[in-house]
Amino acid sequence: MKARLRRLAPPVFALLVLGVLASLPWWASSAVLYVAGLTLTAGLFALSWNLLFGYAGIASFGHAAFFSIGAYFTALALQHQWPLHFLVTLGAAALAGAVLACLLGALALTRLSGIHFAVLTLAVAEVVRALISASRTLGAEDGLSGLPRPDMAFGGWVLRLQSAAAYYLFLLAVCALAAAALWLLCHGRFGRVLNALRQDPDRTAFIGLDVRRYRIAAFTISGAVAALAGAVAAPWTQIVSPETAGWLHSAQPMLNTLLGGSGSFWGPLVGSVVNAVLTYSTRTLAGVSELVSGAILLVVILIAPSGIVGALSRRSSRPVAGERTAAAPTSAAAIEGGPA
Amino acid sequence: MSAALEVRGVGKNYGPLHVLREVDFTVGTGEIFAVIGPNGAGKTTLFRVLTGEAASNGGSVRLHGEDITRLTVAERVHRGVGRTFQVARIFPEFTALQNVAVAIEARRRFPGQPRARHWNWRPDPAVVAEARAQLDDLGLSSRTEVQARLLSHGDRKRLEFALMLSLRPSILMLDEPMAGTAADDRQTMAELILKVRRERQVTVVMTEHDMDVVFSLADRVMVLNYGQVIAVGEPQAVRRDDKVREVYLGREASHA
Repeated sequence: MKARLRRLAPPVFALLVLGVLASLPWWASSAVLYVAGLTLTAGLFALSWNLLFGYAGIASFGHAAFFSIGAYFTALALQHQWPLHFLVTLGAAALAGAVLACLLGALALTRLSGIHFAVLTLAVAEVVRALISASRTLGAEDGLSGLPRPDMAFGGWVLRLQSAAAYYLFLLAVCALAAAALWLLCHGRFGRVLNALRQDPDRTAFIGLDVRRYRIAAFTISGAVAALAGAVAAPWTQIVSPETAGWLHSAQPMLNTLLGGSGSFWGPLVGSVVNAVLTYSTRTLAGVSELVSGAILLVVILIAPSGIVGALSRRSSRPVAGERTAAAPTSAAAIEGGPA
Repeated sequence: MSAALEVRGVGKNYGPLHVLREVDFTVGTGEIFAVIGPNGAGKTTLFRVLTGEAASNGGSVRLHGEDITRLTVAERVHRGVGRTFQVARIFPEFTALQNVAVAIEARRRFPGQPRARHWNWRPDPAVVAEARAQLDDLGLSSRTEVQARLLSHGDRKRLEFALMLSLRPSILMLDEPMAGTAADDRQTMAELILKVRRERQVTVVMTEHDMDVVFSLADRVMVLNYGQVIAVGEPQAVRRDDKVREVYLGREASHA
């Protein structure tokens, strides 16, 4: 009975959170709704980063490159009214991110590892930022603004996403589906292999797995999801700027992941939410808001190096059941509310 | 006896430093073949070349007649190469059971295996059962749920052995299987190697510093010194070899 409750708790919790998020347009202020939308895309962005860091053990310091590619692709498509269904636009944006990541991975992931690869990604993001700044088509330093939100036609029925409420719900659906897909991926065989890879790449090769191929695959998927996060974010903010590819933006998923806990699937989402709440609640402290939220982040990371989820799950953890072959993230996820 | 492993003219140098020179030897199927030599003789480098971790500079390696010189580690594993390390390499965050299960899952997707379901949501019950049986077989049944990093040194070595065996290798490359183990564990490991050879007809190539182990287990011994083979033969013959006594056993004897 108790075991059954434990099994049911995570999906129930997840549905509850989804329900609350979906009800926001009916009772939250437009400012809160705006922040919630930003947090969702930041959360998806952080999840994509942690697929690399927490599962495959690869650090990327330039993940904003992928986000910005998705964002600019969607921005162009909407501004110039390309005759693409919006879902196709999203898919193409994700594909663009995947292609860049795959190329980068195939070129560099064999030769470089650890800090060298991370710095390379940082350099690539800076190149992307510089290219955007130099391109008239992409609005140069000003970026593209006043982006219209899309309509989506399904047969004779048209889904209008111009209003903040409508687009927010669409954003929520996309992020939830993408997160669910990532969850499945991380908890299946692929996730187990990435987990093994992070722990010991040499042993992984000696159980007959092609380490390079799995690393590139993880990087490609991560790039695609980051680009998707950018692609759904652009119509929400209705503006994209070169800073989307800047290193400060690349730092965001890292910070959110470390805050929430990289050892748990849901850690990056929790971190994104906490970060957003901190930023939002200190916004009126003119001039010191960054200082206050920065200090709180510092304290959390110092007292809980495994992040918020890590600290919570250590308090209530039990020996992991034998049949589960996913590592630490599973037990933490079970507590933090992952649909089992 | 057909040849399991044929090594011809293998060399390895790091810049001007020649770690292996023109190494030639053949290991018969089912044989236990020990590679010994003083520290720095090139034993570990030879292992790395044979397993594909390092590329050789010239020469060829054939496994059961197939040229594997240019294959990657994973491709050699698919063809039957199993390997253990001086310090056991296992997945520290996984439990013992998860360690073996992930290896079995990998094996089921080796080229030429009947295609397992592509989307393996949870490990197949058959995989888990096989992993349990494998751990039982190595006397680790009481450790299945223990995280590998918490295991004792001897248990880690045995877990690594279980991981390797679960891939059903035809040739075991054991890099100092006795390194750092207690006397009891040595006995267990030696019996294990013999048992595996008997039951699975595998070929064993091992390096080892413990000469008692080498001379009691090995069918043949090869001695490396400064990257060159100075003697190959049955243990007793190698023991009597003058060159070997001079560079290796002589020194051992004077320590004793």
